[in-house]
Amino acid sequence: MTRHHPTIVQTYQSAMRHRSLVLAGLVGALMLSILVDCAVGPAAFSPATLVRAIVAPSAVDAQTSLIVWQIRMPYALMAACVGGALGLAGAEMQTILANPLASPFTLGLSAAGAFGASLAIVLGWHVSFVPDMWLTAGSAFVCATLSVWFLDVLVRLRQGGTGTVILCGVALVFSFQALVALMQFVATEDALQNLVFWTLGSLTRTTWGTLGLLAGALGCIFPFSLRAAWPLTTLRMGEDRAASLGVDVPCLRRASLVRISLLCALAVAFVGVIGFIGLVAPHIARRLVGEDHRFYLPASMLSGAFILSLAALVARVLVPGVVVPTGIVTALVGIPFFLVIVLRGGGDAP
Amino acid sequence: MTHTPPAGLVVNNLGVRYGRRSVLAGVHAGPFPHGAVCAVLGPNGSGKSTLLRAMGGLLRATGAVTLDGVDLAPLPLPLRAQHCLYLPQALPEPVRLNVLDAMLAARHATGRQSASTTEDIDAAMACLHDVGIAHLATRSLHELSGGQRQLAGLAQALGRKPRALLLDEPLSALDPYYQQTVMALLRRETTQRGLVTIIVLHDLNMALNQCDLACLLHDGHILAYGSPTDALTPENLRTVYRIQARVDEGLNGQRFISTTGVV
Ligand SMILES: Nc1ncnc2c1ncn2[C@@H]1O[C@H](COP(=O)(O)OP(=O)(O)OP(=O)(O)O)[C@@H](O)[C@H]1O
Ligand SMILES: [Mg+2]
Repeated sequence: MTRHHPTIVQTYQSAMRHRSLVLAGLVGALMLSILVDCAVGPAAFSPATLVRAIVAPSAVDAQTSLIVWQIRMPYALMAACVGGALGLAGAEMQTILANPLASPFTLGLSAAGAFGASLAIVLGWHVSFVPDMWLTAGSAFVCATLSVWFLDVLVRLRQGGTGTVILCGVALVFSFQALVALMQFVATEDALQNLVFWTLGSLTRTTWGTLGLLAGALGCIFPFSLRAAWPLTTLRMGEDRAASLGVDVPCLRRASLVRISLLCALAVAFVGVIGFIGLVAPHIARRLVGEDHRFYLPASMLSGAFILSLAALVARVLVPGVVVPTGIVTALVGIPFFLVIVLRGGGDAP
Repeated sequence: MTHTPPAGLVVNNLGVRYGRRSVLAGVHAGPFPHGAVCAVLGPNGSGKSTLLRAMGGLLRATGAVTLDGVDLAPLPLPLRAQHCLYLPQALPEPVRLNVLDAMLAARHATGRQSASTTEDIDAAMACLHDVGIAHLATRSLHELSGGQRQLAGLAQALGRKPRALLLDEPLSALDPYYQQTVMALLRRETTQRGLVTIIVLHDLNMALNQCDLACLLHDGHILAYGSPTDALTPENLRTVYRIQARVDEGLNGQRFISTTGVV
């Protein structure tokens, strides 16, 4: 009754506006950090040069255009896309498993991907007409996807609850880490170098091809996530409650798992193991906009993108002349944000 | 002569097992008629929640549950919830979600619609007003007390406007004021809209004075079903709850059950 409760409805609507503004703010921050990411480096550009190189590449000299378009832009955009994919996947994962510690990293997806990559690298697989890089990425993708399905089947066979999923995921992490260590032990010097790329996570091998694939996947999957926003929100209030309101929970979980496995498997296939983002982006989003999934899912995606974008920047400027593997700096960059937002948020709810 | 199916909700030969353990077997219950509030009573672990969950389609069960002669089992869950909605015994989790959004989520949980219109907000507010928690609309669930969350959960169920409501201990965390308000609301809605309302209670006096029917569950079968005065006799209470109880008549025709000890 709007007539009876005008002030309450107004408060509600201003809260909705506030959340939209937070999302807009995150988009702005992300854009800014991508631009800075493109500008900073051994050859620093003025903002004016950068803008000109982006909007009219022919107006600047060939070298500037090459650096911006072929090196920095794919790198900066890939950071944002990977961060977004991991943030979104982590948010859905924490909801469907009803556990604030769930993330692609803690459930063994990343470790499985690294194992897949190490198989291809250490065993020196070659297929004619397929570049080695794509072969490695493909192998990582297949292993990460298989690990999710393995989890799913295991849980369906045993009729276990979400606790069982988490435990099996943790078991997977340790198994795959042991397998990767074993591969490293038998690897040649050369292969070992290559393998470090996967286990530490790095954005430096980005091409427009890999970027396009990941961005396309993210663009296709995100609308489906948003369409499931209401049922996912009811799931947060308890599995029984969602089911009693008519949500087909197993079906919702499975659809969500498909989206998660695609996003994470692609991310790990192209840039290797990057932890932390999938775990903390959802928590940051929760503090910023609450758990109405219409806002929570985009906010988690944008926070993930923003943190990884900043981390990518730091990774390039931290040690002059060297790009530190992104996986190493992600946590260092993300933790201050995380602490500020989580400690400021108040309340004990995750 | 045409055979008219019994009006209301009927449970026929219902069986439920958890793994190997059979909790309910061959249960016949009802008919629970439209426009009457029916209490389901029984001790802890007697299978009240199991019965209601099976009726609401949350558990796989053998046998049939029919609403006005229509078998509910073949219906997909979203459709089934529109006919017959179960309210879980567990309170809504304390998550960072405000009460109004929780109402809207419940409303849209099975639909395709993504945005909520002003009508949705008005309907949700009206429902919160009925339950008596309109002032909590913009508070987050994680900042509410247990009883307040229980009321929000109840409002979610009422807001879906099903034809049959299966409420699992909706009063368990409420103070006397809200117990009375909610009970009055349920009685009003039930008669006005011709609902089938089934409510699990542990408060014998509430069942005796405010419900139209009572159903006593004992060891996985229905021991007594009928008007509360007929069902809640000292002998039945002794068998079911293992308590010694006395039924007294008060001034204005109200009756009281007082427990004097255990068997
Ligand atoms: N998920 C489950 N798995 C195995 N057994 C269960 C499960 N849920 C309930 N039971 C068993 O089924 C029986 C009935 O449980 P139910 O929850 O229906 O009782 P109830 O009458 O609702 O009790 P209460 O008054 O405590 O809510 C109990 O013996 C219980 O141990
Ligand atoms: Mg119960």
